[in-house]
Amino acid sequence: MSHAIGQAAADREADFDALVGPLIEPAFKLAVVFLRDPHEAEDAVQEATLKAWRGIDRLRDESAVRSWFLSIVANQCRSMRRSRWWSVLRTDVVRVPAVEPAPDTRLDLTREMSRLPATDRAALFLFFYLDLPLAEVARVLKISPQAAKSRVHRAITRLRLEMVEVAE
Amino acid sequence: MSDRTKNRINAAFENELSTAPVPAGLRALSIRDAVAATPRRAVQPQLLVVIATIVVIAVVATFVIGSHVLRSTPLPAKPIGSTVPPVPRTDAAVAYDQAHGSMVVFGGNAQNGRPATNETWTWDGKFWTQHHPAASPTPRLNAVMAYDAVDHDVVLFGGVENVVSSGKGGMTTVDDTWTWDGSQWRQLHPVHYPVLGFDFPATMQFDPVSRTVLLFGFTQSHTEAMTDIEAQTWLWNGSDWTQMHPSGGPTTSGVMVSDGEGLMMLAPTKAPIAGRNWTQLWAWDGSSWTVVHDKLDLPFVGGYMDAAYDPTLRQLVVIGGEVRMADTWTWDGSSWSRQHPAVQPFSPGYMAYVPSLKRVVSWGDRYLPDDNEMFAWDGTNWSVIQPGTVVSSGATNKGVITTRMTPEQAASLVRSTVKNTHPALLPVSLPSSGGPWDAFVQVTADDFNITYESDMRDETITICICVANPPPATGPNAQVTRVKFRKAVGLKYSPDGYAEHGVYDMSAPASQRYLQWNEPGSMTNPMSGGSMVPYYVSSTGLTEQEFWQVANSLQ
Repeated sequence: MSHAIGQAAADREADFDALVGPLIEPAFKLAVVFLRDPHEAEDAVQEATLKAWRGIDRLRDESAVRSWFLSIVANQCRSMRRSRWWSVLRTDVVRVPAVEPAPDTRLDLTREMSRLPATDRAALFLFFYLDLPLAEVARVLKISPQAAKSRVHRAITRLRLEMVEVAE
Repeated sequence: MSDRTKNRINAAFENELSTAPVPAGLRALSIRDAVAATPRRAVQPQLLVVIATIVVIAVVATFVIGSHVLRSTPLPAKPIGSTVPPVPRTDAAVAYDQAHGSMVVFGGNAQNGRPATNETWTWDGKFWTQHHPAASPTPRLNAVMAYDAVDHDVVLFGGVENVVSSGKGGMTTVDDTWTWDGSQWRQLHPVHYPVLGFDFPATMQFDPVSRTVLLFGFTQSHTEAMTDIEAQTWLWNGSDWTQMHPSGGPTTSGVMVSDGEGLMMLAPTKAPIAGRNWTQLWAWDGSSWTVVHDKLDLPFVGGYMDAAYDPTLRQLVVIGGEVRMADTWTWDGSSWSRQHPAVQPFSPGYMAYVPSLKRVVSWGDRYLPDDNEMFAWDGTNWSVIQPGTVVSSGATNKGVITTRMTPEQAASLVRSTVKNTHPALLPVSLPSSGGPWDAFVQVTADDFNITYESDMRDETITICICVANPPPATGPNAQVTRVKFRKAVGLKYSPDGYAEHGVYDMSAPASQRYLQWNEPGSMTNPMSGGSMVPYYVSSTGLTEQEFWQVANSLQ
C-alpha cells in the first residue's frame, strides 16, 4: 500500500516536472531580472512553483503553460518587491540595487538597463531574450499587448537605442 | 527588427545573468517541494460548511445592525474623510481644485497588471475622502486634469482604458471630456476634441494669460516604430476644444506648470545637444512654444519628473531623476539650483501647491505603486506631513533618501567588499570644478560600479569592473581610437598595452567619452578568464584633459 502511494507521488512529481521543470531556468532568469538578487530570485521561483502546483487545475491549455507559469513568477516577484524593506538608498548594506549611476551617462547598456523599472526590464527580457511574442509578453505581465509594446518601446527609447520594429 | 539592438540587449542580459547562474538543483528542489508540500485536492466539504455558516451569520448581522443604523442615524450628507491615504497608484490624473481647496486624484493603476481604477479621491490638506459620484469617467490611466479658473471646475480629458473584446483584454485610448464640481462628474460633449495616442503621456494646465486650459500631447502612432507621432497643442474654453498650431515646441512628453502669470513646460531633449542630454524649460506665449533660456537648461533628470510652482517662495519646484534616485531642483526665474534637502522623496510623486498649507506637496509615486506618503516642501527641506500605509520602503527611513555617499565612503566600501578580484582600481583625483561629488555604488565581492555625480549633476564619471557595451560612437564627429594605457592586456582587437577610447562628439568639449581595457590581474568571475580584469571608465561633462586626469589617477 505504502509503495503504491509512493509510486503515485513519484508519478505526480514526474508529471509536474515534465510540465513545469523546463521552465524553471527561464523563470529563474526572469526573477533575477525582476529582483536583481539571485537569492530572492531563487525564493521567488520556489514559491511560484508551489503556487503553480496548487493552481494547476486552473491551467486549461497545456500549450499555454509557459506564459501561465511565467506570469505566476512575475506576480511573485512583484509581491516580493513590494514587501522588501530595502528598496531605499542605504549605506549600511553592501548590495544596493536602488543605487545606480547618473542619468545622462549612456555608455554602459548593462548599467542603463539596470535602471529601468522592473516591469520594463522584464518586458525587454521576455521579448528579446526569451523571444516571446508580444501577446505572450502581455499575458505574462498581465498587461495588454499594446501596453507590452509600449513598454518595450519606452525601454528602448530610454536606453537611447535605435527604434526597432516590434512584430506583434 | 534590428538584430543589432536585440543582440546588444541580449548581451547585456547575458552579462547580468552571468553573475547569477541558475542554482544547481533548483529545478528538482522546486518541483519536489511543491508536490510534497501541498497535495492537490478539492476543497473539503467540512470547510465549505464552515464558510457557509460564517457567511449566513455575517449576512444576518449586517441586516440587523444595518437596519438599526438606518433607523437611528441619518446618512451623512457627504463622505467622511480620513487621514489614511488611498493605496499607492501610478498613472493617475491629479489636479488641485482651487474652488474646493482640495487635491483631486482620479484613476490610475494601484498595482501593475491590474485593471485601472476610476476611483475619485480628494485631499483637503489633512483628510482624504473617497467620493462615490453618480456618474464617473471610466477606469483609466494617464488621463490629464487641470483646474479651470474661469469655470471653477476641474477638467479631465482622455486617457487609456481597459477594454475586453472577444474575451481578450486590451487597452484603448479615450477622448472624452469631463468636469468635476467638487462632488460630481459631468460629461461634456464638445464639437471638437483632441484625438491623442497616449503612448506618450499628455500634460494639461490652466493658462492664466488666455484664461483657457492648455493641453499638450501626442497623436497615436500608426507604425510599429512610433516615428510618426505628432505633438499637438489644444485649448479648452469651457465648452469646446480648439487645436493650436504652434511653430516648434517640445518633442517629448513633458510636465506643464503655471506660475500664475504664464505657462511653462519641462521636457527632456529628444537627442543630445553638444554631446549631452538636457531637460529644457519651454514657455507658452499664447501661440507658440519657446525655450526659456537655451543656455540654462536643467541637466537631464531622466524621463521621470513632476513639478509645481510655489507662489509663496516664488520658485518652481521639480522632483526629477531616475526612479528611487530623485533630486529636488528649483527654478527662481533665472537659474536652476539643485537643492540639498535632508529628506528627499525617493521618486517623483504627484505634485501640487496647496494654498492652505502654503506648501508644494508631493504625494506618492507617479511611476511605482510603492508609496503613498505626503511630503511638503518648505524651501529647504521635504518633510513627511502625512504618513503612508505602505511598508515596502523600510521602517526607519521609509521612502526617503537620507544619505548620499561621499567618494571617500565609496572607496572604503569598495576596498572592504571586493575580495575576489585584484586590482580594484579607484581614482584618487576628481576634477575640482564639479565638487562636492556624490558617489553611488554597486559592489559585490567580485566587482563594483561607482558613479560620481557633480553637485549640479552636470558632470558624471563612472568606473566599473564590467564588460561594457557602450553605444557605438559612429556619429559624424565621433572618434574611437586605441591609446596606450597602463599595462593593458591585449585582445584580438587590440595589442598589449592599449585601451579603447571613444568620444561621441569631438566638436563638443564636454562630450560623453569612455575608456575600456583589460587590466592584468585576477578575478574569479568567468567573464574575464581569470587572468585579467575588465575595466571601464566613462564621463559626461568632462573635458578630455579632465577625463585623463581621472583615468591616470587610478590606483
